[in-house]
Amino acid sequence: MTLYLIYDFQASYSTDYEFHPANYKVLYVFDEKEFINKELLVELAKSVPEGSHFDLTFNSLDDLKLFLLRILDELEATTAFLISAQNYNIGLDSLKTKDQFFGIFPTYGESIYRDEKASKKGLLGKIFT
Amino acid sequence: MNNLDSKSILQESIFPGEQWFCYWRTSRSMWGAYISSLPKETSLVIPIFWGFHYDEKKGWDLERGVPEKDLRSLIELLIQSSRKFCFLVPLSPAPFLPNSGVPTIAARMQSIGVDGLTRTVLDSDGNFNKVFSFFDSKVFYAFSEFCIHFSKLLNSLPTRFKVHGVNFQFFENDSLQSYFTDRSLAFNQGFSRFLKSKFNGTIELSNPKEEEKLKEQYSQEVQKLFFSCLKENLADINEIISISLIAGGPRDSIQRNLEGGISQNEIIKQITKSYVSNHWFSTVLLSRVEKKGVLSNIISEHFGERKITSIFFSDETHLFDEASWSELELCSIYDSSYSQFQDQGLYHFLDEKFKWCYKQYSSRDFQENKLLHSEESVKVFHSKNLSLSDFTRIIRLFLMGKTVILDSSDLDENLQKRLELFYLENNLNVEKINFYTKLEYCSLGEGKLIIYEGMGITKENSFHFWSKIFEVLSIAAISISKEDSLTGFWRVRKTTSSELSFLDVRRLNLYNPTSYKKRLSVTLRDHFVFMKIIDPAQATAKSNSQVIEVELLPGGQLALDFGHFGESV
Repeated sequence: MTLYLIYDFQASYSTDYEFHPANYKVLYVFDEKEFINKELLVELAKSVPEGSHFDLTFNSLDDLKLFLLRILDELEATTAFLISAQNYNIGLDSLKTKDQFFGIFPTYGESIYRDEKASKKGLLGKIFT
Repeated sequence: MNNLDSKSILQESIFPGEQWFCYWRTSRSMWGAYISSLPKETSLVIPIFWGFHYDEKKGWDLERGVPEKDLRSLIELLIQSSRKFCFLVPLSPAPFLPNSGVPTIAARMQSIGVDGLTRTVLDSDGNFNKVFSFFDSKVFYAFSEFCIHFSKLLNSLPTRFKVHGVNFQFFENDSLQSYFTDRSLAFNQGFSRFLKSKFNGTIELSNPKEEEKLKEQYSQEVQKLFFSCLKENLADINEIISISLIAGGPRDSIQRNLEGGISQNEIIKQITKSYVSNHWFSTVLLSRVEKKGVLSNIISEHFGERKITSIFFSDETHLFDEASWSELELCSIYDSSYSQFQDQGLYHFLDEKFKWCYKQYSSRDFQENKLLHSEESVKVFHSKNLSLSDFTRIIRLFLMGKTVILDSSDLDENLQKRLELFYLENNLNVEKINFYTKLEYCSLGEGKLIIYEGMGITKENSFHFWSKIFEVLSIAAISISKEDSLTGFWRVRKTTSSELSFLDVRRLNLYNPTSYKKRLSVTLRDHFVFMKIIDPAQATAKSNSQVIEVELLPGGQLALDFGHFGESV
């Protein structure tokens, strides 16, 4: 199983009353078969202390990657592609047909790998989860 | 693939659904044969691929050049064959078309959604169609030239026929969005110019919500320009029709690339949402495989000629036999933003107790004085931004014997005084009680008026509140057990001579679009009697005196008829 995560970078802005820092908002998370359940994603987002869990918004790219690693861990997958909206758009620009869709991610995205050995989900990890 | 399959695939691309005829997908010499292959009474809805009619060297070609672009021939053929038809002119990107319908010369800047993603939509052939921004001035110039040539052609013909301006939409996160909505560079540049002219030079937008409101306002003004352009040239056009393209959202385009694809359930959910919110829809983006199963039955049984006539040929609905089935609508809600009554739990209540029997309309539908709703339905209004003319219309409905519910939370002080005056002038006996919130009730003849303060309704009390309201109004409905994955449609017809003991006959069509067996209970209360089961397919129904137990296998469907008797609706 390979995961795909598309995110959008939102620049900081100020209103009359407060400052909103820049953040990274998750738009879509899916594998080859289906979208990943949102409730699961919100639950997993809580493992990243900073950010807005319900909105799946993170303060930094590192936090976003941490979140993605957490998903990989949970779903026992080894590979994911992380792609910004900007790069996804570049990929879409050259897209003609359905069968070219997944080619966008290795070309324009960043690959993230889960180290299975470092995973906490050994036998005891699974029993006590 | 054999010849029969190829022929069938071609036929389906030319008639992709909802009686659309895509003339550009076949040669002119075949138009006659395809059109006459349809039953005589089938009307045709013809979307105009306006970009197709522009050639960079030869300019606009609507009649004398390439045969496949010859709209004059097409119109003459339709008139000769006495076929009822209308044209759809896109007033927004139409992503079922290459370049979303825009001529190549104007297809420069791709549209960007509010999520920052460029708009690209998967069509029925597995091709990704780019959506181009309508905020690029080249698109507007091309469109205005097209309107001039199109109107020249139509005005030269002796027969008048219908032309509709269409705004294409899609579902995303359960709400409808227009393909016109854009955040590309073209939009941002135009928006800057709009701000400068509106605010005489300088404005600082520090509030994102305020900025969004202004962007929405700018967007609507630009879309009005397209509509005005069409109307200037074709005076008969009165309104913009909105059509939802099923599975046309960005999430859907991704979903349809995944192994599981888009489920029948999701497709039908979008169709029923369109139905409930009184928007028309099109399945033009769906592939053959995606259209299989109960979906094709639902469309043919509930969205056929009669429904299409009501949407596109609304002055001909009287031609339908009054004894035939029509949609059952027990409650009509005028709620533009959906959230007004959502927060009050009204939709949750209706989904529990009056499932599939209500519709939601925009305030604009009411302002345009369209009698879209069932005559006998309960009409629910909100007083937010209610104008004097709308308020007068609401009171007039009550005087005409209709049942009206009005949330007076935001009622203007002047309108409040007018309401008090109305009570006095008509000598109405107004009952005032406090039931979770302030409530006023009065009746005049058959008319019933309930005025309440919505602010008093909370999540905890909303169900009980609405239960009591509808109990007081004696709205008779059949109770259905909760089963969200099944789809149903209610219809009603007048009685025949052998059914005179009934007020009307109601039919519930049930469909199981899932891959699992599903069960449902239908409980009869006062005023209803079970008559018969119609056309069960992979489905059974067993009835005792008060309850009918329905079982539907995957892809199963059936219909149940009920006689309705008694004094109330």
